[in-house]
Formats: sequence, structure tokens, C-alpha cells
Amino acid sequence: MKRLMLITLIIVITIGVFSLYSWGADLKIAMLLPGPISDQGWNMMAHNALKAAEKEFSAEIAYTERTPVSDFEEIFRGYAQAGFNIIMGHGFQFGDVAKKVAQEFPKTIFIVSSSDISQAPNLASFRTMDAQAGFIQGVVAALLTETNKVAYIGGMEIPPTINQNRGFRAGVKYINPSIEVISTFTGSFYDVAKAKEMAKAMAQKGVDIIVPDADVANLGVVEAAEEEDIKIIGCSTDMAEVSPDITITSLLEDFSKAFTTVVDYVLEGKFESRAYEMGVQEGALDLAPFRKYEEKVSKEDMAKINQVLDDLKSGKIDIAKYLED
Amino acid sequence: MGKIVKKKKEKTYLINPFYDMQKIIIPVIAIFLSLTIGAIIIRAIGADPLLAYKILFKGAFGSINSIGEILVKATPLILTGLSFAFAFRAGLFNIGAEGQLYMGGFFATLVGIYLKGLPMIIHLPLVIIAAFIGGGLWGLFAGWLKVKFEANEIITTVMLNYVAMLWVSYLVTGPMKAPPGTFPQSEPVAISAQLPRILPPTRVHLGLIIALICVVLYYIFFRKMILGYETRITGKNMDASKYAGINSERIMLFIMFISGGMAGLAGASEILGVQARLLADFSPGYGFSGIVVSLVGMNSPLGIFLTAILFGILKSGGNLMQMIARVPVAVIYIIEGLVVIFVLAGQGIRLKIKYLINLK
Amino acid sequence: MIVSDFITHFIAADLRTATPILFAALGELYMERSGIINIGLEGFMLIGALTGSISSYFFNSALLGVIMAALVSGVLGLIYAFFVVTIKANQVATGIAINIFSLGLTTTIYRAFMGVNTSHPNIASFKNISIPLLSKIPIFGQSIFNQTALVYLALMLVPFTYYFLYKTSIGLKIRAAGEYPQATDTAGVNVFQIRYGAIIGGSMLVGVGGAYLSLGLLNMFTENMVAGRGFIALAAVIFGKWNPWGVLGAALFFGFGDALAIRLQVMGSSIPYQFLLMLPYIFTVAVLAGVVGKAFSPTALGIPYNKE
Repeated sequence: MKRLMLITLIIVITIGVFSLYSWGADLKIAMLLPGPISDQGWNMMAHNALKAAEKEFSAEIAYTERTPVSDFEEIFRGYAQAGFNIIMGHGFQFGDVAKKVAQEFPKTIFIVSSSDISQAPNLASFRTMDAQAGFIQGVVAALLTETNKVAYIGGMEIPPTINQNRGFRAGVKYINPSIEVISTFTGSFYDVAKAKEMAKAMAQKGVDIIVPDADVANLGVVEAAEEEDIKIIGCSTDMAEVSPDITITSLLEDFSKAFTTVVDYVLEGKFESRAYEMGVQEGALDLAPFRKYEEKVSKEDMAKINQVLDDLKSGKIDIAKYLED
Repeated sequence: MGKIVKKKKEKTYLINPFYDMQKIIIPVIAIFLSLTIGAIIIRAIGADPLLAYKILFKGAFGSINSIGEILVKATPLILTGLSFAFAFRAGLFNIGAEGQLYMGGFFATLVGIYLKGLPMIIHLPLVIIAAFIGGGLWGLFAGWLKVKFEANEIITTVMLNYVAMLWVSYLVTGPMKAPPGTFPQSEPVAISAQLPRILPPTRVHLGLIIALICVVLYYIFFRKMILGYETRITGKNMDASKYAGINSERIMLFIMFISGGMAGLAGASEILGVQARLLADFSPGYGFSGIVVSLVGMNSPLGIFLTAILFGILKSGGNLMQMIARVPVAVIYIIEGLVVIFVLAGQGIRLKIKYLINLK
Repeated sequence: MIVSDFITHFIAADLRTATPILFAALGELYMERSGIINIGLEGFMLIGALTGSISSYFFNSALLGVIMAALVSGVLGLIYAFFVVTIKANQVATGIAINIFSLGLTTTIYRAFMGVNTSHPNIASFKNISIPLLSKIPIFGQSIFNQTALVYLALMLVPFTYYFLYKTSIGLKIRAAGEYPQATDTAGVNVFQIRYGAIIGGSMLVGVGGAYLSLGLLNMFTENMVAGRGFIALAAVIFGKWNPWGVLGAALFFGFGDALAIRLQVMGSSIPYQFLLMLPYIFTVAVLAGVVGKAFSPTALGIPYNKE
């Protein structure tokens, strides 16, 4: 028992010593990420945005990757207590907890990406219009398919992938209702091998264009495309950098721009606790150059694609009308 | 090995006056070694190990809130640790706490959402009992397979983990999904079914008290009750227990139910105390950590409690290390893994030395 | 699409997905037969996958990648053996610790070598080898005899393992160590040595299974890429009733389930994918419950051996 007390004493002294230590800086931005920053997709995108903000606003940055659901609240609170001014949860799933913690720290700005929640005075959300992104991909796929079979491979069935898929189906039907659209979900953003097998199975079914929207697992679709007769239309980042031969184009999601725009609002005092939505109008979504496929797309098709982009920008096309339930 | 330790306890004591000290020294040395190796890795990837460890400690004990976080994390670990320990004492390896935890969470959510309009004083006990039964039945199933078909429980419980986790994943994307929006989660459980926070402003909730009561019950069961004694006999030597007229099959079924029930309570503690709704992946492996907690704590009530606190510190401080000192979570996994490996090594070497001493 | 093409592709897909499970399960089989239950397969496979990928990158040879993967996994196996055999640490807890540790270690090392933001480099990987004559057999030729060398190796390991375990004296000793360690020891066999050997050899196979993921099935390493296959392999050993031929059947069956589940989804089936993913585990439990005949685990499985 004596020894136990001795140990307790040592611990108490240690606490005392280390409690003297503390932090301090100006603009401090933190992010909670659901997965690893090296995923070539969703989390890397946010990590890049964080890096961009670090450069642009000379902010101090920090992030937590692979955040377990059970730790959301603790980590939000931890960053807030450590004096971070802007804290972002990367994904709708952070919404509930952000609402709760935001009330305790009214001076800290809380942001949730890929969500539509808000709470006065300090919680906002922003998202790129996933359905719009999918719609544009659908238009491109429908114009360029030769077999009249196109496909979407999502990771887990969550709002961003569900909406992207709905948009994709709508985009295809907008051009040609007789094209067959196959939609699947691998159930995981990590299982590369499964995504590859799925893409191969699609190739055997005659699909010639796939939209891979499964984060890390997209790499599996890329490998399948390199082996089979499939082309892909990338999501979020320019997949031509990964595999130029099979990438027709990519739907670029300028997450950094969307994020720094919100940070800018905060710095200029224009921040409102609302749901910011960003699409082609705001420059948060755009089509990547067609690169190797520039020549292979006919003038009429290219004109049609640009027409759709313009109509989306001007609001002439209302995607909601084309979405299936 | 346990036999030798017991039989020659007095003798060992004479040879080595620090017999009980070793129990504490081993984890301390293990942690020290792990942190040292961790420091080298942190250095190698270009972060500052000293800062990292300052933050680890500050994160653990820096404020009332951070001490609260340790307890929040320790709560399910105490329960899953007890879950494993109950079965282990009966000679059973229940690796299925993770699945039983999910089933407990599932039952708790069912009763928490769909039984409406009850006062908390009735509703809360009902959800907790439901969680116990949910986890207990899942454990009992593995026990029944063992008794009836001699199915190795290590394997069945591992397999049933996956079934339970996938089942919950199915529920929250399908039948139990909250109607508005398309988020894969259930509706929140009624306020009357949520575990109230007991030490505001921290997140410490009533689950901690439940866990502590379970620790006491565990002690009473094995130290004061005949059934507990019989369980230990069964665990030590099943044939001997038969000669002693103990119905070891019934004991196994009973223990697997209790063991599963404890894990189910851990699920309830997470769902009713932290998340307030059912989600896929709501446990970051508490069930697996519980096995380690129990073994490192050498299955003693106090040991399990202290080890759960230790793991709470590691997890909570690890979070802060990542947040402030920019130590990647991967390095924290390495340190966690090393702590376990070194504690196991320490215990092993201790027994080995004792064994060699006893041979003479 | 022609039906025979479908079958060809289906069998090929089945073999591809079954191979990593088969390697890992055969490795586990040696260990379990000697009385050791290693639930750290997931970690061993990750280490194998990473070692394979990095070695192949530096030596520009997929073959050296696999050899290195086997060696490094073997060393890890030696450490594991020291824990569970020599100092009798709890096998389950050690396995869990290895899984946590490996996930952290592989991620850290991979990022240190390859960085976070760069796209995946070109790594020498295994190419399909078409076996003359045999690959001309209709339907089965292109599916079975046009695979990577590792697939053939995995298939050949099955009869080898059977022969080794049942027809050689070392095999007999391994099985005896897993059933009656006391008696085996009395008969003058060093149970410790046998278990060490089974663990190290088995670990090497598990590591090769991991390397197949990063060099055969795919051409890259990604964090946590094993994605539960280690536990499926564990299931395959039991589903195969601790017999190499049974293990082959189990691996093919799980691969079949996987390939079928994927095709069902592509065809627009509405069965929730969670139920399809559950099947291997449910089947395994069913086997243990004697639904398909009785299965007995090695008597001393999971119990450390004490010389008394």
C-alpha cells in the first residue's frame, strides 16, 4: 500500500510539472478527419485544404486522422480548449457532436463539411453539390459510352455517395434515357481488392465507363480499367495524374477553395451560421481537362458538355427535377 | 502455470519479498520501454518526442475535463475487461466481447427508442437490463455451441463478432435508420433512457457507477459465493469438478451469459452514455481491448480497474498527442501495441523466473 | 455475353480472391496443428504486404519482394513464438497486440518511404503466366491456368502440406504436439522446437499471402489493405476442418462467396451487402455446430505447454 501511495505521489508531481506548460498563437485551424490523410481522396483533399489555409493565412494547423466515432466529442472539445479558432469536422457524421460542443465554445467557429446543418451563432456547414457533380459525370458518360452501359461504384452508402449516384443517374438519363446505369456500393472505402473485382465484373457485363467514388478503393477500379476495356471519370481529384490512359476526365472538387472561402468569411467578419452550398457557380466544382481524350471527343459532344456546364452555372438546369427517388 | 504459483506461494514469498511489487513494476517498466521506443519513432518521423509526452501527460491529467475523459474511456474497458475475466476464470476464452457489446447496444437502442413515455426511474433500468440480456444471449449462444457441440469458443466468438457488427451496420442503414436524411444512424434514444452525467462539466456518466458495481460484484462472486468457487474449480480442472459433483456445463452456460452481459453493458454505456443513438462502428475495439485489460490486470478486480484507467490515459492522451504534437495516430497504435507486448513479456518472464526458482 | 465466358471469369475471380486467404489459412493450419492459435494473421499479412511492396520497389523484382516478405514475416513469427512458446504469454492477447502494432508500423513505414501525397509508384508485380496446352482447355483453361505464379504456388502448397503433415515424421510430430503435447514430450520429441518451427514456417506463408495482395492481386500497398482477410483465413482453417484439402475448399468457397456477392450487386440484387459479408462467419459457426459433419479442433489448441 505504501508503494502505491509513492506511485500516486510521483504521478501527482508529474501532473504539476506538466500543467505549467501551455500553448499560444493567432489563427489556429484544426480538422477532424474520419480516415487516413494518405487516402488519395476524401481525407487527403481535406488535408490539402488545411495545408492551403496554413499557407494562405499563415495559420497554425493541426488535425486528427482516423477519428473514432466515440472520440468526436472529446477531440472537438480538446481543440476548442487548446485555443483553436476554427475547427472543422470532415463529414456529415460530425454534425451532432459539433452542435453540442459549439454551444460550449461560442467564440470558436465550428464547421462541418459535406453537411447541411447550422446553429447560431458559430456553427456552419458547407458542401459541394454532390448531385450536381454526379450529374455532370453522368452527362459526360452518356455522351461517350459506346456500349450504352455505364456504372457508378460507391464506397459506403452515405449521403455524399448516395447523392452523387442519384445525380449521376439523372445526368445519364438527361442525355439518353435508354442507357443502362449500374450502381453499386462496395461497403468500404478501403477494400481496394473488392473494388477491383467489382469493376472487373462490370467490364464483363459490357460496361465501358465507370465513375469510381470509393476513396482509397478507387485505385482498385483504376487497376481493373488498366487491365480491361474500361474508362473512368474521376471524382474529387484529377485521376489522370494517377492513370492518364484510362481517365477520360475528372470532376474536380476544389475543396481547398471551398474551405478557404469559408475561412475568409470568418476573417472578414462575414461568417454566418448557415449551410453554404458550392457548385460550379462558385467554382468549387469543375471538369478537369480531357487531356488524352481531348481529340477523341467529337465537337458536338464537347459543345453539349459545355452547354450543360453553362446551364448549370446560370441555373437553367434544375437538377432536382431529374433526380429519381 | 497457475497451479504452481498457488502451490508455492509462501515459498516464493520468502525468496522474493517483492512478490506483489512485481505486479505493479511490470506494467511500469512496460510503459517506460514502450514510450522510449515510441520516442525514437516520433523523433525519426520528425516530431518532438519531449513535447509529445508532455502533452500525453497534460492530456491525461491537465484538467478536470481530461481526467473525466479518462474515466469515460475506462468505463467500457472495465466492463469488457470483466467480461473476459468472468469467462477466463471458468476456463473459457471469450474473444467475443466486441460482438456482445454491439448486441447489447442494439437491445438497449431498441428498448430506448421504441418504449416511450416511461419515467427515467423505470426506463433506465429497463434499457440496462435489455443491454445485459442482449449481450448475454450472444455470449450464451457461443456457450451453448461449446456445451452442445464442443465448438471451440475462441473461434465461435471471433466469428460471432463479425456477425453482430455487420448486423448493426445493416440495421442503421436499413430498418432502424432515422427517417429524415440518409445518415446511417438510428433515431436518438429517449432522454429517459440515457445515462445521466454525474460529474458535470465532464462527460463522465452513470455507466461508470455501473462498471464499478460490476467490479464489486465480480469480487463478491468469486471470493464469497459458492457458485464462484465452483466456477473457479471448473476453470482449473473440469474433470476434477465433475468428481466434486459440480455441473460444469450449467456453469459454463451461466458464465457465458454473464460474460456476454458485461460486454452488453459496455455497449449500453457507449450508446446510452456517449452516442445516444445506434451507429455502425460505434465501438473503437473496446471488446478487444477488454481482453488485454483483463490479462494485463491479471484478472483481479483491482487490476482490471487500474489497467482500464491506464488504457484510458493512453487513449485520451494519445488523442491529444495527435492533436497538439502532430504525432500520427499510427505511432500511437505502435505504442499501444508495444505496451501490451511488453506487459505480456514481463508477466511471462516473471512466471518463467519463478518457475526456474521453484525447480531448485 | 456468352455463358462460358461468364464461368471463365467467375472461376478466375474466385481463384484470385481465394489465394491470399489460402496462403494465410495454410500458414495458420501449421500453427494450429502444433497447438498454437494465432489471431494476429491480419498483422502478419499487413507486414508481408508492405515488405513485399517496398522490396519489389527497391530491387525491382516481384520475386525478391515475395522472398523478403516471407523472411520478414518469419522473423516476426520468431518473435511471436518466443512470446507464446517460451514465455507462454497468452496467445490471444499477443495476437491482438500484433494486429494493433502492425497497423501502426506499416502505416508509419509506408508514409516514411512513399510520402503522403504522391501517387503510387510503379512497382514490379507478378504477371499472369499462361501454361501451355493446359490454358487451351475450354472454360477452365483461361480461368485456372492463366494466373500469376503465386496462385499456382498456393495451389501446389495444398498437396504439399497434406503430404508434409500426414506422411512425414515431422508432420506427425507437429500434429502430436497439438493433440497430446505431454505424451509427445515423453516420447522424446521437443515440443518447443516443433512449435517454434510450425510458427515460423506458418508465419512465412501468411506473409506471402499478404505479399500476394500487394504484388499479385493488386499492384500497390495501401494502409490497412488486408481488410479482415486474416480473420476470414482463420475461419477457413476451421471451415476446412484443420485439413489442407478442406482449407483449399474453404478458401475457394469464401472466394466463391465473394465473387458471387460482387456479381449479385452488379446485377442489381437487393440483398443488403451486410448479409453477404456475414456468410463466411455464419458458415464457420455452422460447421462448428456440426451442421456439415463434426469438426474437432486440435486438443491442445491455445494451451501453452509446460514441461513438468
